[in-house]
Amino acid sequence: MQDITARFQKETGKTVKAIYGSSGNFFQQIQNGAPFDVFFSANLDYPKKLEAAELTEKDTYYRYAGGKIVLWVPNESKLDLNAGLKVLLDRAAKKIAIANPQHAPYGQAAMAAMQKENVYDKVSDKLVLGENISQTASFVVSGSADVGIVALSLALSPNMKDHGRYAEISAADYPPIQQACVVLKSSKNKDVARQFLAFLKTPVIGDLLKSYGFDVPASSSVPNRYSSWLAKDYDFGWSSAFSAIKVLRFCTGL
Amino acid sequence: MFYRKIVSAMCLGVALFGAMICSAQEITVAAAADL
Repeated sequence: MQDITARFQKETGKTVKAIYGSSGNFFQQIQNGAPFDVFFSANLDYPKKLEAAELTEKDTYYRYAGGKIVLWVPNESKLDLNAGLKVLLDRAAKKIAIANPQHAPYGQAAMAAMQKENVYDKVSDKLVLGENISQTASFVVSGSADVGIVALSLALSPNMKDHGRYAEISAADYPPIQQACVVLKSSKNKDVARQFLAFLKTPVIGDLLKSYGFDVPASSSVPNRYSSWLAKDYDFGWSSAFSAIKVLRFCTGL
Repeated sequence: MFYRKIVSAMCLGVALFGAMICSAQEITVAAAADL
């Protein structure tokens, strides 16, 4: 998200402040009137429910990516990730970090995968629950847990990729982690929010998401020429201001 | 003439200030922690 917001700011001059958390918690907060402009959810249900409750702007629901889960251990760990989820049965795996399945879609995927591989009942007392997938990852990076089930995007992020190893969990083991975003009706800056949404659909952002391991829907991309439209929109404010100044100078003789 | 220039300068200042305010738009996004 930092890369996306930085590129958006560079191209349009408009700032995006990102707050990270679990999708379920954000869903609750938005229902209670939290002042966000755009909501990026790690599943499709929460944005759809907000749409049904008429808390979103019309035609802004957008499926931007699909996520994946991986097993992750620090470099110094002796756990063999080639065993797949069976590695969780290893005695050396005393604490296993997953995101809280009650409100984090990645936690629900981790639970589903463990159940599919018949390891959940044997490891349930070793689970350490993170509030969200980022906190879950920090548990393993810091050594508070021996192994974790985290998002591939985090395993590939600069904070983690040089500090450990990962093994992808078969996508057949858990329901797809489809992700969607919406512009919220409570937004006080809907034009910029819609502009950010349009920016997200450009091929350059699709490629960026792919580089972090996300599946990006092929039909989501819009032509490159969109970026020139964004630039035009950015110019609009300044060109209007300069036009106003010209009129003033003309009227006042300065 | 002097007062006219003062008023004009003030108008220019207000216009520039308005342009700066308009360009400083910010949005807040609530993002899933995998992003």
